[in-house]
Amino acid sequence: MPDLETLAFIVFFVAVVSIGLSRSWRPLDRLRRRLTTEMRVEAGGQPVHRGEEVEALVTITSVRDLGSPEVGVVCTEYYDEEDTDSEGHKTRTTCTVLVHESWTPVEEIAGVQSVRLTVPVEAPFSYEGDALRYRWELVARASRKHRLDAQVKTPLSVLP
Amino acid sequence: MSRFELQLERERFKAGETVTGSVLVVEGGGSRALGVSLTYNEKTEDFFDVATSIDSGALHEGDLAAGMSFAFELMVPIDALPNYESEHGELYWELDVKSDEAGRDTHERRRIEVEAMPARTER
Repeated sequence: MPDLETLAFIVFFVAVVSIGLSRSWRPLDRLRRRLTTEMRVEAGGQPVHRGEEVEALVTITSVRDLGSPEVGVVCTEYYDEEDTDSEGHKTRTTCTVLVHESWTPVEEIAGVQSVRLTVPVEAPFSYEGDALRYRWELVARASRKHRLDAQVKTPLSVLP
Repeated sequence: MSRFELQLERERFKAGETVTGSVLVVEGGGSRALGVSLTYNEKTEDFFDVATSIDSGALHEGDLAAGMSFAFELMVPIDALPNYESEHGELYWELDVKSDEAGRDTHERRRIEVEAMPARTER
């Protein structure tokens, strides 16, 4: 019979894996961002046009436990689809898929670092529709030992 | 039910340009009104929505006879977004000729390419 601590760990592990393996990794990302206090990311100037560079300003306040920090430009497609259950009831759900991501390492030092990232010319532009949305974000992330990885993000406006 | 042919000077436009063309009636029939609209549509596998619509107004009111032709002009908005297609969705401009008829309306649709305003070099 496992002790209470082991049992708690197993429950936590199963919950984390279940959430993580769901349709997207967003629930886990949300938790990562909530638990991240030692990193920040901002856009130096926006909006940007496709094909242009965006300046990402990454602030690291503490490098303790942070490993391999990097910053990226990420575009996610949100699209609505109709799901039908076994009784024929239809529901509208929003699904997500990663359209673009590119990552650049940043130095493992405390302070502000400026990184220039390119938005590809063939990528989507920011769009907020009824059934379809393309959302861009600047994301900074780093690994952490025995804890959820650190992650912070900020919205980015991309023009055609 | 009528049948139409959409005649365009070209099929690629820049934001702010005017789409000029004509609607040729190939087969006539009963109609209350004939018009053309330029729409920006979003489409996923299960859903469709018109995000922007620019209407010509009525080009003709009343029944249509084969051989009739109606010219139209529609301006592409200056801030028009371009067409884009991704894995699960699509954004596109389309001309929609509509004859308002008793019962099911007749449509003749044609997609056009729209190029967004070029990026400014200074910011």
